[in-house]
Amino acid sequence: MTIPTSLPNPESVSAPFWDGADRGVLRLQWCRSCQRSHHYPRVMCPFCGGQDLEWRDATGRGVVHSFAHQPARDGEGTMIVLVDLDEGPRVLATIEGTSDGLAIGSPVAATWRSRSDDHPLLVFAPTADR
Amino acid sequence: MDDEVTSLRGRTAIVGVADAASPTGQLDDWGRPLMARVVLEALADAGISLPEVDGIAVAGAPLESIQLAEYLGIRPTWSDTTHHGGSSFETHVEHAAAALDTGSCDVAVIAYANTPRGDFKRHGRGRDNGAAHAYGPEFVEWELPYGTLLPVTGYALAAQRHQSVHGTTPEEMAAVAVAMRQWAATNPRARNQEPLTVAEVLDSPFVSGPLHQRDCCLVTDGAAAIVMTRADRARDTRHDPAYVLGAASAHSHLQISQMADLCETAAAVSGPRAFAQAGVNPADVDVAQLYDSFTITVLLALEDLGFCAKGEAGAFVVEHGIGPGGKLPVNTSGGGLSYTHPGMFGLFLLVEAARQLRGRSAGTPIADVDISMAHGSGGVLSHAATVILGSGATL
Repeated sequence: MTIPTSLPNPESVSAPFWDGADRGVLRLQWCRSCQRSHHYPRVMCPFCGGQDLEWRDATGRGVVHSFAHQPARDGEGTMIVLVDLDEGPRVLATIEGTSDGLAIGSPVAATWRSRSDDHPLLVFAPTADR
Repeated sequence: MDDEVTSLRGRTAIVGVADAASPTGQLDDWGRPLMARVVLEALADAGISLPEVDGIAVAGAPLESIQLAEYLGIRPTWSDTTHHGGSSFETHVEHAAAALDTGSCDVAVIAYANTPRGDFKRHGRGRDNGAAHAYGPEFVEWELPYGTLLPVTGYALAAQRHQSVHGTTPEEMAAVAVAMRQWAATNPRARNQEPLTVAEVLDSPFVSGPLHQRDCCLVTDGAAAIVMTRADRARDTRHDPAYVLGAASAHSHLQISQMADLCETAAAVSGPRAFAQAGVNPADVDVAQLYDSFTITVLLALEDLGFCAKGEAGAFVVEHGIGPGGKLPVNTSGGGLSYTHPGMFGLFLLVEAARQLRGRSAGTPIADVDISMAHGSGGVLSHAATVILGSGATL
């Protein structure tokens, strides 16, 4: 299925995330009440309901929580991953480049895939041991 | 569980059932005529006339329960268009039981029809691709751009996690598909009836690894309907009523990235609530219909509903068995993996669960069934709804 993604409204709650993406910086929302980070961005903390939120730059580092390989008719297909970021949130993304030897617990680091019609997309690449 | 909730035990029953499916995977009929005909068949099965129907539930487009009522020429006092995926129908039963008990209606019909194969042949396209939009703007912004396949990618991620954390093997997952196929061999309307081996499952191509094609449900045409009424009226219908002993729903997330624990579904909430209402335990269940969208879906349900401990469903399937001759007969019609799966299988689970209490089955009747259950799953392991049915002897 192909559904065109639309550029996030600059007034949207997630605009700071995409502003960071434009600069190659992963940014996450944090709750000042319970001091937990969550993703995707919201108007309140999904853990405690707190509305006093702030944006912080993230390390971009995390570990693979799970993965699924989708074959393609030609080429290597796509490695979809769930990544547990060091800050706590879990994000869905893809692995750029080789995913040989990828396993649950493998360390990965955020990188960005440019898109012609949209903000850069958060993806991950395997890294050496943490 | 407080008294108001437990008081629904045995007060309503499924008294009429019907389903339509073909070994070709395609039905000649489609759309509103198909849905109306299966409703009429379920009413005839119950021995209840169409004008007596004053409650209707459809998991379809907005207003679809109203559309169907207009077509049928009925003027209901209770209507439910709840649509949260494959478990919608088990939730309809939960809602209908309360509506019947409080007198909002006297006869409720739950109906479903979808014909993706026939639609493709007639129009050159299947169902619209609105599924992604049904997952909401959050899914469109945060998961869809990665090329995830709805819904299989989410299930593949859960399957991989289950394999890694609990040591579940691809062979154990394949054993679920093999068991469903063994039941389907006894169902003359099943799409796939020929024997299937573990090796054949593992040799089928990956759709989203670690899930192979044969770990995934069918895409077929199908329709189903059930009729419910209060227990006093149920005793006057044509067949043994399937009394609703317990029904409960729960959900935990929609996008797979928001699922707190990939190895635990909301069935861990809906199951115990339904069993508590029914006053029975998993060990009391004589036959179970557990939504088998994918092989991993059955394993998670077996664990979350309490048929085995967390992480042990693979061993349970292989050592105790869920196929013919097994300890727990699961999906005796052949399930969504081998019987039919027209987008949502939840209503077919209820039809088969009720039939088993009459000593009947689309596939293999199980002897002496007093407790029969249907457990639906919707979304990406997102929503769970559990219905416990009992024979008259359980009241």
